[in-house]
Formats: sequence, C-alpha cells, structure tokens
Amino acid sequence: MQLSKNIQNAIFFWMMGISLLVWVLLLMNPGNIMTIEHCKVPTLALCSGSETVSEATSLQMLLNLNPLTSQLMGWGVMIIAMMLPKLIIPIESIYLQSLKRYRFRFALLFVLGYLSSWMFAGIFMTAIILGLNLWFPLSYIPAIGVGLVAAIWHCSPIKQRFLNLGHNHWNLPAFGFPAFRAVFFYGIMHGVWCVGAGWVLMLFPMLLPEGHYLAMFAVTFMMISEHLEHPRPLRWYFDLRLRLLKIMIDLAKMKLVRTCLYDFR
Amino acid sequence: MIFLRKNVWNNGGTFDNTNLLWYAKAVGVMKSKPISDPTSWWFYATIHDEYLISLPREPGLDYLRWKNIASLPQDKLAPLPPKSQIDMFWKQCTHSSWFFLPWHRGYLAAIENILRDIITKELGGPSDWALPYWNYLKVKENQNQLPPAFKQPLLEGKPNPLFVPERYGNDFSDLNDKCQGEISFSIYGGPTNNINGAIENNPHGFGHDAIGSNNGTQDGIMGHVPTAALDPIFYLHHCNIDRMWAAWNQHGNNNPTDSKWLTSFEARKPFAMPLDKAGTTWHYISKDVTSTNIIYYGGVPYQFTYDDLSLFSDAKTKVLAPTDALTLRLDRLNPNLDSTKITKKRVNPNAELVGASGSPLQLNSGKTETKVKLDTSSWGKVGKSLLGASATKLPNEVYLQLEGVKGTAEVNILSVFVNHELIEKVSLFGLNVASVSDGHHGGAGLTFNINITHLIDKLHLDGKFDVNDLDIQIETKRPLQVGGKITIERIGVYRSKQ
Repeated sequence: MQLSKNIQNAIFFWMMGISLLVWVLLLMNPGNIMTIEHCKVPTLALCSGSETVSEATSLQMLLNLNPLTSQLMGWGVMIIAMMLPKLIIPIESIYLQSLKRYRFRFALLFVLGYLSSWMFAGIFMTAIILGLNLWFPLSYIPAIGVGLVAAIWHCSPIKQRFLNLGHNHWNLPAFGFPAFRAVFFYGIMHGVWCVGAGWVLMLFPMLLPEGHYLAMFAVTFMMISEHLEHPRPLRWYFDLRLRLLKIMIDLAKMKLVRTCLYDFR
Repeated sequence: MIFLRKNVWNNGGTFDNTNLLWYAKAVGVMKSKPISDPTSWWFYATIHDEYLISLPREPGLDYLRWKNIASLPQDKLAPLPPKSQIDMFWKQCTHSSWFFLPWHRGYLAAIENILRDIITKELGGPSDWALPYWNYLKVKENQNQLPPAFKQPLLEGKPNPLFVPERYGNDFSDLNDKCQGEISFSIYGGPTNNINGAIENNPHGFGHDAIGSNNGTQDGIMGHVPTAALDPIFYLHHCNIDRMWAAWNQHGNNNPTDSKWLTSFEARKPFAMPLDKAGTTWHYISKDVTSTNIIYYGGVPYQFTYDDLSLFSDAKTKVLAPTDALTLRLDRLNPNLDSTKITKKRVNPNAELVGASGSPLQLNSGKTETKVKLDTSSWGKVGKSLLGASATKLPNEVYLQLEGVKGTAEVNILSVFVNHELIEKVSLFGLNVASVSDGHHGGAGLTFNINITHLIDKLHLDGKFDVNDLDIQIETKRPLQVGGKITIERIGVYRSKQ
C-alpha cells in the first residue's frame, strides 16, 4: 500500500524544514552551546591566577564556563539537525501502518524514543568531550585520535551490523496501549542502532578546536549516505560508504553522456 | 534493427525450433567458460544471486550451495573473478520491489547480447537471433509444461546444455495472468522498494515454485533466488514476464513517473551488467528500460519486441476491462446510477489502515486461523463510501496486506481465505533471502497486497457490513518440512480512496 503523494511530501518537508531551521540555530550558537569555551590564556592554571591548580579545580572552571545542561542542550540540538532527515522513511512507514487518528502521535512518540537514545548516549559523549578538552585544551590530538577510531569503526563488521539493523522497519500493533508502547520502543531501538553506527563519527566534529561546523556537515552527509546503503553481509568494508555522493556522480555522468548521444528524457 | 522475441513452443518446443537450438548451443559455450570470465554462464547467474561465496541461512539448505549441486561443473567455479567485479556485479536481483521489472529487463537484454555475439561470431548463426519466451499461460495450446527441448539429457550426442536434473515440479495449474487486469503500476509492479507487485507474485513467483518444487527431500534450483539463474529455463520464464509487462504498457497502462523509480535511487545496488570479457560495464536505471526501446545500451540504442503482445493469454482468466469492472461494481452498489457518466477509473494511491491482526501468526502445515480486528471509525468510512457511491464519488477499494512474511520454508504457496472464501494465493519465492537480517531486505520479509473489494461489496450488499473483525485462514500448499517455519508479523486491512 502507499501513502498519498501529499502526505509523503508533507513528511519530507516538515522533517527537512525542522532540520534546516535547527541548522540555522546551530550556526548562530546561542549561549555557546555548540562550542567548548576555554580561557583565552594558554593554560587553565594561569587563568586561575595561581601557578598550580588541581585537576578538580580545572574541571570546575571548565564546567563553570560550559555547564553540563547547556552542553547537553547543544548535543540535542545537533542531533535534531543532523538526524531528522534520516527519520523520513521510518516515519512514512509508521504513517502508513497506523490508524489515521494515531499517525501524528505515533510519529512523535517514535521521534521521542529515538532522541532519548541519542540523549542517553549524549551524557557519556559530553563527558568524553569535556574530559578530552580538559586534558588537551584547544588541541587537535583528541580529534585525530577519535578520527582514527572512527576510521576503524567505519570499516568494521560491528558497524555494518548496526547499519543493517537500522533498515529493519517494524510491523507495529495497531490498537491500544501495546501500539503506543511498541512505537516508542521502536524509536528507542532505532536510536540505539543509529548510535551504534554513528557514535564515533558524532564525536569527531565536537573535538575539533576549529571548523567543526564544516565537519558536522560532512558527517551528516556521510551518515545519510551510509543510511542509503542497503544491508550487507557482516565483514570489513574498506570504503567510505558515500553512496549519496556516488549516486549523484553516477546520475550526473549518465546525464552528461546521454545528453551528448540523445535527449535525456 | 528491432529484434523479435518469439515463442519457445514454435515447432513444438523441440530443437526443430532453430531459435531454441541456437540458444542451447550458445548456452553451451557460456557454460564452457570459467566463472572468472564475466561472459560465462556462471558469472551471469551470480549477477542474479549466488550461494557460491554466500551461505544459505539454514544449514538444512546446504545442498543448494553451488559446490553441492551435482550437475554443476566445479572446475568452472574457480578461480573467482577480482573482488572489484564481484562487488560491482554479483547479487543484484531486485525482488519484492518496484525495481523487479526494470532490473530484469536490463538483465535479459545483457545476456541476450552476450548470447547473440556467441551465435553470430563463434557459431556462425543468424545475426537477428533473440531470446525465446515461454508462455506457460497458453493452457489451451498445452504450453503450460516444460518445452521438450529442456527435458532431453542429450543434444547431438552430447550433454544438452538446457537440461538440468534439479528440476522436480510439473504442476503449472496455479499460474494465471490476472495481474494483467490491474491498471495501477503500484499494484501491478509494486508500490515501493519492498512490496511485491501482482506480476511478481503470479505468474513470476508461481513459475519459480512450479519448476522448483520439492522432490521429497530437496527443492529444485529454480525455487530459490540464489540458484534460480543457473537454470536455462530461468531466462525464458523472465522473458515471458517481460513480454507481459510490454503488453501491459501496450494496452495503455503507464509506468511510474516518480523520480525515485525512474532514477532507481533506492535500488540496493546500481544496475550494472558486464558487456564483455573485460567486464566493460553497462550502467542503467529504470528510466532507460521503461519500454522495449532501451535508450542507452552500452552507448547505443537497442530495440526489441515480441511476436505476441496480447494482454491476456490464459483462457481461464476472467478479467473485465477496468472501466467495465467499475461500471459493473457501481451498478451493483447503486442500481439507480447513470452509468453513462462513468468514464475512467482514477489511479491515485492513498491508503489508510482500517484494521489489523494482533500478535504475529506462526503458520502450521495446512490451515492456520486468525482474526483481523476492524477499527469502528475507519471501517465506517468504507461503509459511507459504499453507501454514497456514484460516478463522481467512487467507492473505496479494500486491500488485505500480509506484512512481514518471514521464514525458511521457501518453496510453497499460501492460500488466503477471508471469511472462509478463497481470496488469493501467494508464492513465497524469495522468502529466505528476504528474511535474513543482513540480506538486502534487512530481514523485513515479504509483503503481499490482496484486493478484497469484491468481498467487502458483498458484505455490504448482504447487509453484513457491520462486523468487528474478519476471519482469516492461511493454508500452505505443501506441508512444512522439518524445521521449516513461516510467520506473518501482521495482517492489515487498508482502504484506498479513488
């Protein structure tokens, strides 16, 4: 069965629209929620006015400058901006298989479940980001280290397993409390598979002292691309999984070649 | 030049049909080449799918691994081609998908050209040779059986390249071409990337099932996706499916205009066929093969057609033209209607769930029963549409959808009964591959759409429309083998506004 084109378009434009709006918000960086603030002097110790301070004091200062709540808020905003486009297909699936009066509520519950998984992961991720910034302030070393882990993870069969699971669109109950529970749980599990596939990629831009918006954009493109790949057998894959880019290049090439030979209908 | 594809049953389906004789000889040449050659029979079979480097999900199906199939020449199956060619070409087949028809059209065009090259350049045959098709729906002419040329073990004193010992079925009675009466591609060829179209189910899946059914201990190779294309009858079966699609278009039915279909954007792999021994690649998309005038085959236009483009072949099929069927339906629902005002049925897919089953249903051998609960308010909308049916306010159509059909018992047919009336039969061809979580369906299983509008109209006219649920029975054609399992995650009922 198929949803009407109007409903499909509405889902697409709402998800893309919200994502774009939140991207704008991200770029404005209100209250510095998207960046880790450091003292403008080389070390935290000098910043405190004394020659030596304990690590606990340094952490306290870092947390004063970057309250955990605002960091988590930044994390949540980033997840919404980067991940909503990936939820278009599961939301279409939920709309199609739900009673009309439940469609919006189920979609909302699914998104909430999905975001819950990412926010739970965000607690640990934010701690890692703050910790690495404490030990390596304004340094590229954490980003390089995490980038290496990301490269290994990216090729691993474990990541492929998470990506495959993300393609499993559930058949949901239609009636009563079991339906509400199932769709929320579906959202949580879809989030878990997404975190499993993308956690280390998401860390990378946050650890860059500079240029992390550009990195975030690249990571978003990469994550949407790998989401477009179909499930594959579990093994090491040494490719970038840039399917979106490949499709765009292939279509452009085909169009170019055909325009020379025939009119591309 | 326009190549003409002809009926394999010309000259009785024997080797007196020279078109078929050339096919056999060229298949023999392809079979003599090793799998490392992209123009070999074995390489072309892997393009569909394979159990050569992939393994069956169930150990009980190990006999389908290519190394265990007795009739395959194992020396031709090694060494393997380079990994880049495996990644590019192997395991592309698109089943349970709206890409099923376009992908297979390109696949046939590619192998037809490889075969013609062999026939003209190596065997000195005719340059206008084209693939034959097997129209098993010509029941009156007794063409609903395997052509004799495929049954004889020898040809000119040597092993017959068309003979495959792992074919066990000969019951073609379930095949029909009712699909040809559909007017919307979303029903005919599939609505999206993961739902079977009507033609994919019957006759396509039923054809695989009929030839590939079990001999008591093992399934035939045509019954499973990763082994089917090893059998030379496979290409003639698909040629007939392609002929039916061409006929369906010829009779005024349209292919999708959705850019996702035209650009094959959601396909699991880019459609790619090797054109020669070097592996020169033909990339194509659905848009290239929407007609039998392929617009870009390896850089040049390529045209073919069929000697028979009749919409229906099966004398048993009783399908009215869409406008007539609609007029008849409206006349039944509203006898006072001025049927001269009815013009053409609109095709505007817009589905809404009106009922669903509860927990997943595990099937047993024979019949298994369940109920689909109907939602009062949504079901009421169907009732209203039936009550208010007119030439301008077309009544809803109602569909039963088997969702998430998963399992291991692949070569089987399910008969679906609603309120004890047989509604439809569905083939489980592709069940194993669709149920594997790391396979290209992501473990989603198969999904089947069944139009139950006539049954709902009857309930309405009999004054029995106000029901809370529908009784569903699912019956397996063959007993499940030991360890064989089939589950249906949900059965949904949908209304479709016209």
